[in-house]
Amino acid sequence: HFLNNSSPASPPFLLQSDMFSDEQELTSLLGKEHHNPLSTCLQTNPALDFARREAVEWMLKVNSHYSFSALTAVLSVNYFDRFLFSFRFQNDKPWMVQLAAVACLSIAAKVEETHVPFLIDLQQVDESRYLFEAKTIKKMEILVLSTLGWKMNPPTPLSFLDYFTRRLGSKDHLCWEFLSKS
Amino acid sequence: MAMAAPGQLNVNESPSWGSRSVDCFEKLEQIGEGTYGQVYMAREIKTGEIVALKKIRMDNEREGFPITAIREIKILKKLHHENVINLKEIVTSPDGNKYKGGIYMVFEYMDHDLTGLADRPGMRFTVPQIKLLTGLHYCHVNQVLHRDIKGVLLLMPSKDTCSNLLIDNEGNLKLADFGLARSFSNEHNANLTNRVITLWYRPPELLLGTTRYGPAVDMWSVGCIFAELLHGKPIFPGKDEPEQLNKIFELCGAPDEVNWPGVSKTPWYNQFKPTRPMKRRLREVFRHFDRHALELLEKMLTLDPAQKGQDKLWICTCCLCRFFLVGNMSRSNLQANTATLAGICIFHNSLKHSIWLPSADSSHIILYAL
Repeated sequence: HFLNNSSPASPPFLLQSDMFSDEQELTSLLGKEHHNPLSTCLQTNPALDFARREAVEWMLKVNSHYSFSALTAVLSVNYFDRFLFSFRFQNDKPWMVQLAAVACLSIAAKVEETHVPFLIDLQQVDESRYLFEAKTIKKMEILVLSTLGWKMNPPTPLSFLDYFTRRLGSKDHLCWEFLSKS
Repeated sequence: MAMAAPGQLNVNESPSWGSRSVDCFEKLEQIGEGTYGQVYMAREIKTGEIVALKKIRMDNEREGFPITAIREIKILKKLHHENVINLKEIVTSPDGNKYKGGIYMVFEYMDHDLTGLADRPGMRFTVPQIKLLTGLHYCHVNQVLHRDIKGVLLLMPSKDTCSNLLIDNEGNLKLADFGLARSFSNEHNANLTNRVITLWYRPPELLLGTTRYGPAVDMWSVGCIFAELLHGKPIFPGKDEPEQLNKIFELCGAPDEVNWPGVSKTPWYNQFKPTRPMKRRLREVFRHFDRHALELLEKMLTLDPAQKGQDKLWICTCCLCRFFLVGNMSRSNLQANTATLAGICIFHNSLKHSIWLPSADSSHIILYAL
């Protein structure tokens, strides 16, 4: 992300060009991508597959209820999937998956949103089987974050979309409109 | 919806995967405490390396893991630059005591912050150097990308503009304390507290009791900080709110219905209105400033918040960037000193931060989108 100080261009120049360097950015995005072997796992474990599906649906519902951005949704599912793969869930504790979903959504909202509801309110949106106390969710948030190695900036499909729309030259309002709706 | 039975949700038994224990470090002494929590100087037992441990404060139960810590970690994890404090790792304390388990951020140890240095006799920095070092400014770009006001996020200086700049004994400067970036306004809260900004950087409309305000408040703060950097000391160091307003009026002139339509209707206008006429003396007081800087300052320190429209804010911010990039950089000798120039742009709508820092040879500015 280089910004040279040479050009005395009009003010908007600075911020249109600032963050957007060329191929470097794409290389860096591609370099940061990791394959999550979870998908193979899910094929052999239908119970986990079902639990994941339920949890993702729940996260998306809450996401739309609070009009969180698309990126928040993508991030929460990303955190959840990464956590699900790294963490060995015990089958006798089905609530763990739901607790992880609440924690992942909460982390994503804190990363991305301006207005973040309280943990209790986050769970009131949809009939979920469990209602967790805030301190329990906090524990899970910490467990999720440390399991993810505290990495909260994964490249997402939106990062690529964002990159390509900018490359196509639509630097204006439309582009942002498009991105915010995508 | 069923409540899980107490005791059933024993998340405590799970180890915090991926994070080491704080027991890997031996705490030597507490070196700081503030709104952000305690900071300790510590030694890593295995290597003997000295580090700073910053304990994450977790007071607000309803919020869960604090949003400020999440943002700070997110930003620091992404930034690797010689002028940004290096977050080495995050460690957890063993959870014997149920909910008291602490989370610590492990930083490289820095010898001083700027505030401490300035008070210290016999320090190894000369005053002009300090001035150059304080050449950091917080540049708040408000809604430039979305043009749609939703909320305002401001990186607040804690007690003063300097204390989140750290310096090691080689004179290297680093930015720290990104956790102070906070959201203090959003559309869900039309009425906001008017005691949000550190007094010295608080705009007149807040001091006069307005509770409906917009991005102009940040522009005032940016103006104050910008002037402070050029002036070498805070420009409105008020002790309390009446004195703060008085200092502002002395420099910017007294507000009236001509220069600020509607000011007489602000809640505390009658209480605080100046008793004698006061002229705007900005250009006179800061006549030694660069012409462009002065022009910019005039715009940012306009009394009437309505005159600081969005477009103006945008233009000012860009001018500010340009001033530092083009103007100041090439004209004066800033290039000679690395670590003189750094800025933080915050695109608040999506809490997108960007930070700009000089490249290693100071020949250009690198913008980090976060």
